[in-house]
Amino acid sequence: MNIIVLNGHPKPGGSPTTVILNHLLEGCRESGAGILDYNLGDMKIESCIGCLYCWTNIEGRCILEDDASLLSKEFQKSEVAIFASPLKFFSCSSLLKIILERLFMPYTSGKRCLFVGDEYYYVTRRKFSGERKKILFLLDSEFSDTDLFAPLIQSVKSSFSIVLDDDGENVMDYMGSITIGCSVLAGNADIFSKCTNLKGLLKRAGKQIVQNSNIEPDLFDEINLPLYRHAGISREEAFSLTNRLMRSFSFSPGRGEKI
Amino acid sequence: MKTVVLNGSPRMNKGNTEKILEPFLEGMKGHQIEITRLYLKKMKVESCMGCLRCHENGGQCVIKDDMQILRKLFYECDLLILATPIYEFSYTSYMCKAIERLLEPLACGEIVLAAGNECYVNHTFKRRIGILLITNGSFDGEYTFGP
Repeated sequence: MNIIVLNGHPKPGGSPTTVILNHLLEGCRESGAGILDYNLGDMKIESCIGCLYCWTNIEGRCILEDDASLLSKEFQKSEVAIFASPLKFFSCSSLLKIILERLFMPYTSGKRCLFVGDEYYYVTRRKFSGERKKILFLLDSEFSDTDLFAPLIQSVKSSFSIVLDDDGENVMDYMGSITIGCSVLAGNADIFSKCTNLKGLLKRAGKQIVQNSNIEPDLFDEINLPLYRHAGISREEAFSLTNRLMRSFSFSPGRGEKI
Repeated sequence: MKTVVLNGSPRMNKGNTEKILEPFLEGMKGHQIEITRLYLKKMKVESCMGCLRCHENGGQCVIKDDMQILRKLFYECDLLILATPIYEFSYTSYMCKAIERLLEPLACGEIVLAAGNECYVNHTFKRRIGILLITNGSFDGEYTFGP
């Protein structure tokens, strides 16, 4: 099984998103999946220019030639796609937003729009072979409330569900979202070492992705808790620690940093 | 009243967003309103790189690009109008980049628990800005705009 991973954290090295993601991928690797891991911060990807070339062009191809063309090709080849991003102002990070637009705009390039009752769909031009593509989102936020992820999840779910193929079947299947609150704590090795339970759960989820190309709903419920509950500390303690960690973060210089 | 209009459409003045925005701004004219209109596609705005330096140094962003102009306008304005089409059930990535860069330095305070909710407290920002959102999408369903 081929899995493509797009990490939308601007500073992937040692970031909470990457730490959580790596445990999930470890489970996938152990079950023998081939993983392509891309850090979007290292790639050069332009924003969609809204030219609608992909809507009129026969193959639904994008007119812009950059790293997104490579990602688009790899995305088509893989069976599972994992998008990872921190929650930024109730949306995903702009790096992931850019690639979501570029990847899915050509898919929504409808031969036609289809109205079924109150609902509407796009019938895609792209050819799909074999099974439906599975999509998993991995999101984390510095806040503890998991409801905060709802607007973003709603919007990504909608964008996948409206794309149909010629037989009226969904071409992409939204597997679910792993949403972890208070994720800043994952940047602290001491606290994260306490979350042995979470590490095990993530690994199990990774294995399930490869074996069943799905994750059980119960497992989602077990994983999707704020990190302080996994680590067994109180909420107040978690926030005083988060505030301290945010001050002391010293990420290594990265992408185009000029100071 | 100082008003800043950000148009997040990549099609700029040819797009449908502009067509909706234009009569709206027409109606605002003549009421002692100073309108600054900006197209985000024309501006050079990098993505936030998550260095969190703005959390250390009181809300100064280290990236030097057109965002400095935008931020200055934002701090001085009374009304901010965000106009964007719906791409993939959300705002466009141009708007996404600008919002991230605008708000990250504002959220540089500490997290506190206020009435059970977690909020950022900013100790330096003392003004209140009205924000208005104008969007348009290709579908007619109300719920397109929900998220």
